[in-house]
Amino acid sequence: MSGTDEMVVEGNTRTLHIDGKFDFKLHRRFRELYEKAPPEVNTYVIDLSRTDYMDSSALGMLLLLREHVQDDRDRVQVINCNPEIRKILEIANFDKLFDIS
Amino acid sequence: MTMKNPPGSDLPVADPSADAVLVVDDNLLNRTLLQELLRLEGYRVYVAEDGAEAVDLFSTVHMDLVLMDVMMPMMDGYAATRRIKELCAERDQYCPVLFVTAMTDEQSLVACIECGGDGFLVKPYNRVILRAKMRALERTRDLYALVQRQKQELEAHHERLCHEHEIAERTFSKLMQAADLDAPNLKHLLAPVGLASGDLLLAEYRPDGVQQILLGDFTGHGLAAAMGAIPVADIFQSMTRKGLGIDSIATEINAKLKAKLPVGLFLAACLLAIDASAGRMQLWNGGIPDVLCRRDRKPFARLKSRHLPLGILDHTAFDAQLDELAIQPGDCLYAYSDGLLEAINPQGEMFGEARLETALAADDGRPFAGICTALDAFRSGQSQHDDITLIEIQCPAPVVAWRAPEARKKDGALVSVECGPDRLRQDDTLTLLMRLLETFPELDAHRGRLYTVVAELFNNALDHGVLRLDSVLKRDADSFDAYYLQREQRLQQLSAGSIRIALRLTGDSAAGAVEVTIEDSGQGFDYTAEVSQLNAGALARRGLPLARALCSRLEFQGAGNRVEAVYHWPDAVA
Repeated sequence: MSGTDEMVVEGNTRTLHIDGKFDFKLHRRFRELYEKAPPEVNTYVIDLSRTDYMDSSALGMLLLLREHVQDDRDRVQVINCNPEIRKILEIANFDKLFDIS
Repeated sequence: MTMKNPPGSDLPVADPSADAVLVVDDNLLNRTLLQELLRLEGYRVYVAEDGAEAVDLFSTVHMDLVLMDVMMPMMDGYAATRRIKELCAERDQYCPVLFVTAMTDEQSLVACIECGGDGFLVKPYNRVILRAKMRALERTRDLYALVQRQKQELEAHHERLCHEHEIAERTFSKLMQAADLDAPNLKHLLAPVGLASGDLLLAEYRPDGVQQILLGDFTGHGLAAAMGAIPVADIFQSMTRKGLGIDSIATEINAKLKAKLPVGLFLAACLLAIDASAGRMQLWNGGIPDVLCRRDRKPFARLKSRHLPLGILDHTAFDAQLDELAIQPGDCLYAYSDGLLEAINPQGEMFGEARLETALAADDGRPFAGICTALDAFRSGQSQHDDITLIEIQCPAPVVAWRAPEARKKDGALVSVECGPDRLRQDDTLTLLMRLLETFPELDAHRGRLYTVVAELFNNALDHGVLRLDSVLKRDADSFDAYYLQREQRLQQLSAGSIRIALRLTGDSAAGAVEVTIEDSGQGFDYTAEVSQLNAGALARRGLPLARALCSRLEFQGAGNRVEAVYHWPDAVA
């Protein structure tokens, strides 16, 4: 369980892999995802395949990202959630705001 | 016209495996003479009447040797040779060109070589000399072919080696990624030579809150080291999670390496167990440089290697005896591979222990960064010969009353802890709690949700109870940052206040429950006015409703500074 994470740009999409815990300790890094993205980037992918745990501050960060893309559902994807993480996103009704897979 | 290529129909067909020779001459007599001569020698012979025709033919047929006249219409022998050598370079082929010429002046002969030719024979020539010259050129050609083949083999080997190094590197980084190296009390430096390291650094909490660390240095690098690193990381991680001590782990790793690895591949290693609650540190050091211990910016102990590296001794001869040292919160320990001491500067001097201690003595409150800076300045760009690994371990504030899983009581109580300011600043309480819960297989399917419940209630108690932060702050991106900045500041300045956490587990994997009780020293809040509905769009105040949705019961008590929650299964969530 490491807090290291990585960002990859491919075409107009920037992907953030979140390792271990998705919590407030990531908030600066998370903001860099979209605030320091190359100009061609307009779509963001949050890859949670290596995420074990999350809390409500993670939900807050996802909302800030949503605000950044002006609520455009097509520009944010939350992918590779494990069943536990998915459950939490569903309980928070985030499946209504984001494409979650 | 004369016989054209390949040898005319009136001649016996030459052996297709014979070397092909191209004869270039505009004089029919010369051409035929050479052609006949070479055919009798067993060559396949092609002929061209001028340089242009020779180049055309050369670009379509593989030639082993060219016999070239100088003076020809259309394209002379020099130009044709230059072109032929260009074609050779494109094909990665070496085809010798021997000039056969009537010219004897120095300049013309030198030009034969300068245009790329490999030799010359002055007409009239002697058969024996021609044959000898051709043999010599064939030898050169064969040597070239051999070198070429070996070069390709070498490239293939190199490619495979790079690929294997990459695998080794990925193996190492995967192993270390799984380790808790980002625990708040650890700082580390990993500087491998090239791609693949032979150094291994692992850290993991035991369920009873003891932090265990392994710093290892394999003999060798690359795949061999990666092969050994896999069982070491597995053993270290699984045994630590089961709550076993470093003496058992060292014994097990030694036995495994001894049994499975070839002789000569072994692991110099240092294992540390930091038990903050007991104010005690244990160490097993086999072949790693002295671990330096500092208190109040002064050295107070150094722990030497007292054992042989792991993987050398038989199980029966292995000595798992540990060194022990009393430690206090704030003490710093430094463990490092010998690559640090043996790092060299451009003058060839080693970094050495004296420089390390000087860097530590210049402690400006950031000794770890100090060592890294001193090392960089010393090496000033000099490349490394060995992997460099360094870890700083700061002794954390004690945890009260962690209970190992085997101490699980009849009433199901798992843990009951009180976290004061130091422990809250330590910022690893949630990690420790999860590590404890991970040891119960009946919780396997619920860990993610349990984490969210415990984290929400704990953070609520910390943020609003102890630190008295106002969540109204979290309105937009900037205030979101400001909130966490203020949280960090208040946490650093915190001098009083505490959070009590108790976890109880009942039932089994089919049906059971975890009860979470969290009480903080704060003033509480009006929980009757709590937002009960989850509002997906709101930035703040989402935590409690989320926890509530995950639990079958969640109840604030007293002034609102105590909360009891029950997560149960099956159907914890409807």
